[in-house]
Amino acid sequence: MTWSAFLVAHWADLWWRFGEHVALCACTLSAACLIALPLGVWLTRLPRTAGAVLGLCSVVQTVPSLALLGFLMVITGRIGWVPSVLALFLYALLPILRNTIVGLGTTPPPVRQAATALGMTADQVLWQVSLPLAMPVVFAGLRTAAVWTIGTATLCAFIGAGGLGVFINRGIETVDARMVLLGVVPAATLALVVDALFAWCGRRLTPPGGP
Amino acid sequence: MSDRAPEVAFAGVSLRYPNGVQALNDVTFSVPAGSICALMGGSGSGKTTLLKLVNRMERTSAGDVSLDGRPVDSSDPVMLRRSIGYVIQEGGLFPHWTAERNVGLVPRLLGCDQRTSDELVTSAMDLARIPRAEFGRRRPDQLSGGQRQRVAIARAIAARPRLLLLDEPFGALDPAIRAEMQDELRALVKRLGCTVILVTHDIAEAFAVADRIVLIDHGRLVQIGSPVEIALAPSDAVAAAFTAKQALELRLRHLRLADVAVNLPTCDGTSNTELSGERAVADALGAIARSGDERFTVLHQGRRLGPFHRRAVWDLLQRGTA
Repeated sequence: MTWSAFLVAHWADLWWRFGEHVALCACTLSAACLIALPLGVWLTRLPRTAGAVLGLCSVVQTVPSLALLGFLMVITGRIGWVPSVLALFLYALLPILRNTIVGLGTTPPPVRQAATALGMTADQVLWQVSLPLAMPVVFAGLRTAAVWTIGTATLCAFIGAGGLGVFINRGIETVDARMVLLGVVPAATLALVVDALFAWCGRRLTPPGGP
Repeated sequence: MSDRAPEVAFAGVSLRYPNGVQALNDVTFSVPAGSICALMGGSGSGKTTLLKLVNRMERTSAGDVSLDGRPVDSSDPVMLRRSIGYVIQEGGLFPHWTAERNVGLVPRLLGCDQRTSDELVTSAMDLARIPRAEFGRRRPDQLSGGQRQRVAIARAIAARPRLLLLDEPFGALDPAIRAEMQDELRALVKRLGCTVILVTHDIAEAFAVADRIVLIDHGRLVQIGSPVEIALAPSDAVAAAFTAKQALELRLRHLRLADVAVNLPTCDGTSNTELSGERAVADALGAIARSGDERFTVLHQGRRLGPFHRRAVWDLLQRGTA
């Protein structure tokens, strides 16, 4: 079968799996942002707790992805989306959380001090000074999380969550390199496109000048 | 705060941090309304801490800081800070805001309408000699160090505070610009009629800007006095050590002949060289040398003092300046 014939034969399936993959990653990343961004902002006021939370996230990060998926499948007692989104979510937390905390900490001390000394409230300092200055670092964290999630999501096919990993699994089982590539190439392309998209958003939201 | 410049009083102020470090120890002095006071001391002496007590960036563990008799602890810290101008070393300008937005910070925080705030920004930038038309839309990274400090000063005076706190405002500038800014600063605050507290470790800066100098060492007040008193009559060895390195230069530049003459022994003989007591010592010594006369007399407040011998001036100036 030629490449083009191969593609035509799997065209509909490819788009379906691609859609599944995008949905899986979008759910995970939205949940991670929704939790990690506010949590990161809040934790900058509690440096000790912040250390503990970051430590916990790092521990999660050291667990191999496949093991985490299997483990969550066992404790949730389910296969498919629930353990998959949960695992990817846990992975995505660390880069977003850490970069938010680090980013907010990069406000130069004289700037923070001047802001307070001139009568800005803690909230005003956060929203008008620290957050805008933290944007490049926060977005770097989002990009890491996005690329990571899109890549790792291919493993979720092992526990029945679908996505582009399905082709990779099928390719491995049938020793068919073309089938593996059918999963790998769209996943890699998606990662690059999303990364570029976040980079663009980051530049738009980063004020000129920088810290 | 009222419309007039406040008197700032420190009464028995002590500050001990929870870790046991005694940052300030029973410091008492006051800064008269409308005067410029320099807090001088080495690093870690407590001078910056003392400054931060005024706008409640730090709290005393004993004693009171008060403005016109009203303890600062009775004011809401945020409102208090909005009424006090503040400049920090390196300026602390918000790097992501233009110069004019930085300057307009306090008027906006105070809820001024756009037009009032605009007028305040323009006039503050004019006063700080960083014209808005030219510099207003630039961000801090597009300004030189001196220009940034001008913006920081404009920001501090924008809402017309009656009290200014300056923490090493020119510490990061090169010496030529620093001297120029010091002269301008003094002229500016005298024109605005603010009370000013200036923290500096640079004795030349204290002499150039301040009416009164407060020497602080290890959290204790060592001496308080006018620049002349600090230069000519250090209260003890610690005070003398502050001025030791630059003492001769400071005395030459900042003392008037009359300040010196009252402390000079008269000599025998007569002199035809008569000098005004208002002249700076350095300048007067030059004039004496040019006259070829070893002796001179001083005209001060209608009285003639002397004659004195030229060498006695040098002896007095160099006393304690090893």
